Amino acid sequence: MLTAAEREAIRGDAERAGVWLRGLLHEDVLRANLRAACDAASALAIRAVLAPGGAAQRDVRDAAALVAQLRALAPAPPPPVPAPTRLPVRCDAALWTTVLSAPPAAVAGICDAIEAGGLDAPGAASRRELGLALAARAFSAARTLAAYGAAMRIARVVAAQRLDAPSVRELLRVVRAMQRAGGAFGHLPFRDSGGNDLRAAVHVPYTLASLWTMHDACADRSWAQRDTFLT
Amino acid sequence: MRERVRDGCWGWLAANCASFTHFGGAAATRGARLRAFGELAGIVAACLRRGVRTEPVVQLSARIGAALDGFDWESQAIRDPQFVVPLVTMAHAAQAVGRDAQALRAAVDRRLELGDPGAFQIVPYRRLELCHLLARDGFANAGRASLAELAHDVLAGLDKPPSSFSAQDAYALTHTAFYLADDGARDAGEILAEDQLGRLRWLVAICARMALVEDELDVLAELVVAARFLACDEPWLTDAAFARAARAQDGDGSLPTFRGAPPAQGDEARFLARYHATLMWAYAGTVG
Repeated sequence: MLTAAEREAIRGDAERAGVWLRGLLHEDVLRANLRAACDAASALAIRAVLAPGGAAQRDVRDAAALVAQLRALAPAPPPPVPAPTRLPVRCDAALWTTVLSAPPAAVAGICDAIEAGGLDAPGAASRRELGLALAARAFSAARTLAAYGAAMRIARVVAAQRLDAPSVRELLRVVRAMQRAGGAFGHLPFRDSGGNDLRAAVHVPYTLASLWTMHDACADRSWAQRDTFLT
Repeated sequence: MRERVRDGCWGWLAANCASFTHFGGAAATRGARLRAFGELAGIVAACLRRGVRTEPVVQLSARIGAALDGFDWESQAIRDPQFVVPLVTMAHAAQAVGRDAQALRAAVDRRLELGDPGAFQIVPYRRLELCHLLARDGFANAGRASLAELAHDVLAGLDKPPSSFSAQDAYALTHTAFYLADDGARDAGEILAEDQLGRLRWLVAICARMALVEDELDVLAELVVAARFLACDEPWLTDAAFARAARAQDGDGSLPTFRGAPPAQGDEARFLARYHATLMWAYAGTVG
C-alpha cells in the first residue's frame, strides 16, 4: 500500500520521536504519571518496530522498568473485563451511512468492533466505501486539533484494514504535519502561559497516537493485536 | 426524496425571480444581486443545454431574457475588470434563452482586446473558469494557458489533506470539476492525466462525505453535481445527501446557504441567505 520512500519517511519520523521520548525517560515528567509512562513506553515499543536498532531496544527496556516501578507504587488495577464477542462487522450501506451520521462516540465504538472482530466485507468496493466514510470522519475530526486523538483512532482502522490507499496516504500527511522538529507530536507548546508542563498530558498521548497510526499503515497487523504496555 | 427537494427548490426560485432581477435596489447589495442573477442565469443555461424544459426552467428563462435587456452589463465590466466572467456568462445565457447575444459578445471581445484573459483573474480556479467559458463559447482569445495547464495549477493548490481545506478550497474543487467536465458534456479525462483525474475524483468523494458529516449543505449540493459529472457518484450517498437536504428544506422550498446562521432579518437578507443553496439543490436534483 505504501511505497518504499513513504516507509522510509515514516521510519525517520519514528526515529525522531524516539529521540524525544528517550529524553523524557530521564525527566521527572513521567515518574509521577503512570498513564503517561505507559503511553511513552508503548510509543517507544512501536518506534522500536518502525525504526529497529540497539538503542531502540534499550529504550524499550528502560521504559518497561519505569512502568514496573510505577505500577508497584500504584493501587492494584481492577479485574479485567471480559472481552466482548468478537464477531466481524458487516460492511454495507447501512454501516457507511451510520459512520457518516452517528455521534463521535458511536463511530469510536464501530472502530473498536472492527478492530476486535474484523470486517465481513463482500468485496473491495464495499471496503473502499467504508474507508472513504471513516476517512471523512477522521479528516473532519482532525480539523479540530483537540480531537486529533479521535481522528487517529479512526485513521488506525482505515490503515490497519487497508480500506482505501489514497485515504491512508492523506491521513499519514495529517500525522506527519503534527510532528515538531524535535520529534514530539502535538500542536500546543510544551508549557502553557501559566508555566505548566503539558508534555505528559498532550505530547506523549499525541505521539503515541501518531506512531500507532504509522505502525498500522506499515505493519502486517494492527498494534492492537500485539502485547503492549497499554493499560 | 430527490423530486421533492428539486421541485421545492425550483418552485422557490420561480416565485422569487423578481429578487434575482431587481438591479435597481440599494447600492450596498447591488453586487450581491448581480452575482445571484449571474449564478441563476448560468444554472438555467446549463439546464437548457441539457434539454431540460420544465415549467419553472422555461418561466425563469423568459424572465432572465427580459432582465438581460434591462441592465448595462458592459458598463459594469468597464468599472470592474473581473466582471468579464459574468459578461461571458450573460452572453452565453442570452444565447441559451433565445435572445440576440451579439451585443454582449461584442462587449466581451472588446474586453479581451485589452489584454490576456489571464490578467482578469488571479485565483487559479477562476483563471480556469474564464479559460473554459471563453473556449466553450468560441471566443477567439481564450488566453495563452491551456485548460490542462490551469487544471494543474488548481490541483497543485489542493495538494494537501482535506482536513486542511478551507471553504474556498472546497468550492474551487467543485468548480474545477464543473469546468473540466464542461457541465457534464465532456469526459474530464480528455483534459487530465489519469493520476490527476483519480486525485480529483478522490477529493470529490471524500469532500462530499465530509460535507455530509459537517452538515455543509451548500457545498454538498455542488459535490453531488461534481461527482455526477466526474462519473464517481454513488447512489447510496446521493440518496443520503438528498435526505439531508429534505430535512433542511423550508416549507417554501428554500434551503439555507450557511450552516447555523441566525435567521435573516427582512426579505432581502433572507433571499441573499438562501438563494445559492436553493439554486444548487435545484440543479443537483435536475442533473445529479
